[in-house]
Amino acid sequence: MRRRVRHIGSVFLLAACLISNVVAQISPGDLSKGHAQLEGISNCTQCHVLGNKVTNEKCLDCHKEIKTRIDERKGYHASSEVRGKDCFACHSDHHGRAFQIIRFDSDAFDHRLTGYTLTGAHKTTDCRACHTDENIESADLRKKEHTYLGLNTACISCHVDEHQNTLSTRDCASCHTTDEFAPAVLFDHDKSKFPLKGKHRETDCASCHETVVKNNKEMQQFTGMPFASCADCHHDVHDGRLGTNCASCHTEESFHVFTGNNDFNHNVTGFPLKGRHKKVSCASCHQTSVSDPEMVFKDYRNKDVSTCVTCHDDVHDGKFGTSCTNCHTEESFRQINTSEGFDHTLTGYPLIGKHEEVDCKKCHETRMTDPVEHSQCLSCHEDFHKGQFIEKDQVKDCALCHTEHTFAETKFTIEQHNAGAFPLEGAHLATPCFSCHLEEEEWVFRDLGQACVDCHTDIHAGLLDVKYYPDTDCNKCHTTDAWPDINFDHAVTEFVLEGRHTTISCGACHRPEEEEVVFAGIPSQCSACHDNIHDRQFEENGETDCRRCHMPEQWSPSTFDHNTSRFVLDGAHKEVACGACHKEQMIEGRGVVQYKMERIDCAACHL
Amino acid sequence: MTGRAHRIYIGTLIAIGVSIFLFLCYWGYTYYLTSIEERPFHEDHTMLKPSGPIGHGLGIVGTLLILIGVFGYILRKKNKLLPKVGALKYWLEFHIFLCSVGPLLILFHTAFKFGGIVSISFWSMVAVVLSGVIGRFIYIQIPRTIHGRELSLGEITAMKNEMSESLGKKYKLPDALYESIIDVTKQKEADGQEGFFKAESRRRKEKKETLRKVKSILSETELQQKDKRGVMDLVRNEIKMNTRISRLQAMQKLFRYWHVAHLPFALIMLVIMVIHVAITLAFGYRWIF
Repeated sequence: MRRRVRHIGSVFLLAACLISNVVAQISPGDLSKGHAQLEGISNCTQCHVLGNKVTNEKCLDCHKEIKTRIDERKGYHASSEVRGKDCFACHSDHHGRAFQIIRFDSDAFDHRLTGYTLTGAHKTTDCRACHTDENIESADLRKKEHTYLGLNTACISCHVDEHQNTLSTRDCASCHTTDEFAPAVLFDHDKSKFPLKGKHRETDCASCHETVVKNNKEMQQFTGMPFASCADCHHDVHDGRLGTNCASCHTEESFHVFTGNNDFNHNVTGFPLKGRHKKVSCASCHQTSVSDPEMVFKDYRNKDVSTCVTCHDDVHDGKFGTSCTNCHTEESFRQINTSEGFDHTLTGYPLIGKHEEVDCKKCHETRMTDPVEHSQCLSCHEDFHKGQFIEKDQVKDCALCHTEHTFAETKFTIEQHNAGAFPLEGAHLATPCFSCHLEEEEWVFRDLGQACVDCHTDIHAGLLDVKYYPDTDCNKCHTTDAWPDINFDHAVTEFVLEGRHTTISCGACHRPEEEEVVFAGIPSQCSACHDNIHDRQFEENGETDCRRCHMPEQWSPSTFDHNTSRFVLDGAHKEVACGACHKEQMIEGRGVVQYKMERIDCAACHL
Repeated sequence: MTGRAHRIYIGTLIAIGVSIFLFLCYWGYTYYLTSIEERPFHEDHTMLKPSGPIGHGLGIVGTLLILIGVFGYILRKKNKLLPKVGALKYWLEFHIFLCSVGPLLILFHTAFKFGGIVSISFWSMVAVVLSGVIGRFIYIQIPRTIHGRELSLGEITAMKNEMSESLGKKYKLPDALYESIIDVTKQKEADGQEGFFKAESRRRKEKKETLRKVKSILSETELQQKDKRGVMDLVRNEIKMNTRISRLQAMQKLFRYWHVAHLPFALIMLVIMVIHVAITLAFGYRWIF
């Protein structure tokens, strides 16, 4: 029992020794530097809520500047990344005095979450260049060490107003970007009272907006500048003698480009501007740098403006005269007036015939003044005959046969033709050239051949024995004069022509059959050509020989002697016409005079 | 419980304790090696911080293990009305197990951050554990029955004599040899003025000397090697018994003082732990509930 009492006593003794420390030692660890003033058991509930850990309300009770931002839905703590989180999720404590309760990775921080996106040069600017006490408006916030609060999004809250409040706006971003202060790329001079035109657009700003000293500080002046008159900025080279309205003559494009182009009526000068003349600057023709401004534009007085060479150089060195407009127009020197005007004879190559109608560019493919080879037709034209007229390796010039007037007609004469290998005779003289020289739309002048069959078709082939025209030489029978003029000796055949046969035409016997005239295989019997009008009355052994009674010279009278027949004529019979006895009878549908009588008694005729 | 079963029982408890320690070390070593200021930015901070789901859980489980270990053992030991369930020796071993693993879990619960009121509890716990280790050493120096009752000096001397006799009987040593061994191992008279540490130093020297002499005596006999080892083991036990008899008084005195240290520290630990838990609950840290 004594021992137990001693134990308990020891415990309480120890407890008593420790109790003073116990009270002060509830904290699980030192608070961070920012919260150091909250150390001590009496301060626990400054942050902790009994029964409910640490609440955001407790934190924001002290951190009112953050609460204000959250309530205004502004800043990083109101962003989607933070909203809904417990404060202690990022800012826990009791991790020692040196603990960084705000661990901030400035490189990885997405500034967009604050509601102010960093752009341009801001992206590479050190955080503390902006987040400094100087830029914090609120005195309370300025007291806070290392705070990122208190900045204004207005440029002027961090940057110095280089314009010293002389501009109509304080919104720097209306002219400047965050990339660089100068140039002020967003400034639109056209929206100012002095819109920039012409050369003014290219002019450096500082040329007009000079640097002045204001409040002992240099400043580029952008406001309060006179600009009503050009002379406010520019020096009047005319010393005021031509008035103050520069724009009546000059434009902003260039001092040397005059509004006179538009306003001045050049027609009154006797030299109306046409074509390109309308577009060129006045200074192209008029001398602008004259000593006496009164003499500006008067430099063509007493000069002949009717000829171009007064102003322009004659690139042809006078070779084509001085009437430039014969060839050239005022639209362009290179645009040649081809239809009329230019006398081509001046060039040494007069245009004749078809050449007069050809467009200049057909021959003058480059500049008009570039020399064109013209000694031969082939200098420009292709050899239509494709080398058929080559002599000594040289193509004969077209002009030997053709003229400039037409290519289709030729001046090649019959005499020239006859001097060749195939003189023209007979009907060939009247034959057009194309009959022989045009083959399937191709003109052929070489290797045509000289035999008749080289041009003509042998119509007798297979119908006439070649022994009568060896080597298919048509000239054996025909001449070049006319085809029907036949010169053939029929005696060389088996059928010698006699009597009437010598006078009739060939075609009377050699009749065309289906457009082919047959010469071979015709029998020599009379019946081969002639009809037998006596039917078969005189037929002997199946053949009727006409020559027993008829002669080749003529058909009648017949050489028949009636007295050699069975019935000798005598008495009155000598005077009786043949037909009195020999009557016509119908045999096989045609009338045939009956000469051979069956009966010769008197009663046969006389009843 | 047989000797084999007891060894398995002890081995299992040690394996569990070591496994838990190794597992927690492996899991959290990068976090625990991180400085206090940097820990909140460690990826495991949410889980392993003392108020995190795991860290807080370790504290709660560790506390429960300690409470069970302490009060279970006290109940078994003090309350004579309760039936004596299991030998006190095994209860003590289980008490040591729970009160080792529990503090181990609490060590990881603290995340090796020792500060504030609760550090008193923690260091008290450390003191209790260390005193427990010392107490365990003192405890085994005082021979007891298996139920934990201390043996009297007479009982111990009888045990020693019985052991000496068995030496002669078991190995049938010749009388001369037996006498010479007994003579060699006999406890030297202690100098009454001798201090504890000086006496311990002297005993260690004497033990070495005695074993060397017995070895020398045995080398001149014709005993087999196996029997020689058996004799040497018995001689060692003899020396151990001699040492314990000579230490007994000092140890019994020391053990009483030890109680004065072990128990108060445990009470301090428990009281502050209650305060710690109360504060924790008061501020709304209810673990997963």
